[in-house]
Amino acid sequence: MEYKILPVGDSALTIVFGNEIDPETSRIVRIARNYLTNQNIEGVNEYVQTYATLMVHYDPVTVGYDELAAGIDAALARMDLTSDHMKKHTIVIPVCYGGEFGPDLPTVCEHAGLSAEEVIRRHSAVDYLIYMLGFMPGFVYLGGMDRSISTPRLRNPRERLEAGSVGIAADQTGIYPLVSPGGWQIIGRTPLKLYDHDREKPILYEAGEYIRFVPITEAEYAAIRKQVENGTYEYQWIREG
Amino acid sequence: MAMHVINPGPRTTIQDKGRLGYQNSGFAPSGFMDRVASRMANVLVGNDPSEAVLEFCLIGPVLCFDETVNIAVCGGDFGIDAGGRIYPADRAVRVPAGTTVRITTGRVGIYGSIAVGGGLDIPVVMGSRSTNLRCGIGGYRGRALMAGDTIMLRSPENGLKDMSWRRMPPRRLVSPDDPDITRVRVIPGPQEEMFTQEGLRTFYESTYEITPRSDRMGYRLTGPKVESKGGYDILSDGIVNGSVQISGTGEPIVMMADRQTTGGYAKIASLINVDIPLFAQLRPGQKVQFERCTVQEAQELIRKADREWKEHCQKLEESGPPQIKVIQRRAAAAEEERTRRGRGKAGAVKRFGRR
Repeated sequence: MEYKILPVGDSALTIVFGNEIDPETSRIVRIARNYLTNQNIEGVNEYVQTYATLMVHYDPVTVGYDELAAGIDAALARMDLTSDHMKKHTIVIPVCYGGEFGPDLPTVCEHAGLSAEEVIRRHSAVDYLIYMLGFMPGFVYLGGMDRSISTPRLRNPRERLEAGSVGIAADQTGIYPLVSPGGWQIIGRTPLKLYDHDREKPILYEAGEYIRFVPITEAEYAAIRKQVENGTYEYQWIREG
Repeated sequence: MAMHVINPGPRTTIQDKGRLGYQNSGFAPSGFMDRVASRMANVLVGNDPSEAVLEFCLIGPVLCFDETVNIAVCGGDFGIDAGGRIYPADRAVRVPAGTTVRITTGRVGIYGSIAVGGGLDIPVVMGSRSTNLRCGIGGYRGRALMAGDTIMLRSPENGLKDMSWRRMPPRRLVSPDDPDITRVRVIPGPQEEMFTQEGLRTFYESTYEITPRSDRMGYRLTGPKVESKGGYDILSDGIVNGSVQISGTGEPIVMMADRQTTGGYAKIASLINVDIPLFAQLRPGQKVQFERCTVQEAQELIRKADREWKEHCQKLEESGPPQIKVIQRRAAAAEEERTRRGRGKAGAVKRFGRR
């Protein structure tokens, strides 16, 4: 296991384990997060897991960068990489692709040289590993997208995207749980409320679980949306093990 | 015992030290834009430094209290107009029951913090009273204040004690009238290697102007484009308060309190913590220049600022009404000294804060 530690400002550092969207790198980052969390290192406030890095937010009055970096080095040398076991849990996310809900679907089709049907088929054919949450509450960064539908993000981010927007940015796909500005190519929208602070679990899923997108029609979108608003919608999980 | 909002101002929210510990689920910490102003205002009225304040942007709210309270405003040359009597920022003001309180706005600073003695009775959501407008949580019903809102006070007896003698030495913020360019210190990285030598020279040697498209999420700057070796996209990673992203347009965005927790634009550098509150107080149109700093230097500055803050607090607690004159004399002497030394030459580069 190779990594490097870099300062990010004077109150955080990042441990860089790689530079790829890669399930093995992600597994190492997850183990490191769990392991370091259990070490209760003095001065550390929180850990933020991303694809290939672990950000450590700390209080510089309690612990300086050099001391903390040395402590993390020592801890990582003792870490056991075989300690991680996760059963596959998959949540089903219905998505209405194209049209008003997916204004950038034509851009993705053009970039990929594929029909809309084929882009939708390829986008919904995979169970995506949730590599990380970030950017906003419940925003998932998913790995495993078919690279034939990769499309660069917008040069100028949009000022407003609707909650539930499903998009593509380079080799990544994801969902916007809240209204937000954003630079992703939007190809569809889910009627589900991915984030709801009145719900027992405000965010439906967590890093390490999987997401499956299922194409739905506009009529199905409207029906599910109604159930979600009534509180009668039952979230569908596929559980293994 | 309540505080009534007669007029909220354009965007006034409740903020405290922030919602910490949930960034791994994507929750921005929110919290004070200017933590130095907020803790000053709180300590002036006898609150804990991290107590929730009313934070406004440029134009303050109009308020009325059922009973006598101590309040303070900090963050710029704002003032408190209590029933027609005007008091400056950076001091406690005892407001009699039923008095209409307005905030006056001067030339310097943009985010003002109003502390109310005894604290506001706002529910704690995930460890914080801060308003997160994007999620609609925290603060007063998850939103900015509106006319007609009523917020109860947690310890109304605070107003029984007259604290109006309490003062803090005013900070020197950079005025829009000041011809000098403000130097902001940054720690390079973590994606510095994505930029060309020419790009880095551009970033550190150019002047960038704060645009009106700046808010609690981030300050968009305009100026010469920073050249990268091949695009500005990275594999998304973590963002901190003060991260300087270079977006697809090649111009910097400085991430602030309501920032996202992770992002996909390359981060050329991060503001050092002691410069963030002063940077936050710059208005659109004001200009900055970035200056390299090491993490070790920055952390030494934090520890020094922390010691100085504790000394200020201790002095405040040890002083009392009989010593008002001494404090005033000291403040007057300090003011005279500043005036005597005068301002730097036009066009010269000046560093933030008191040395």
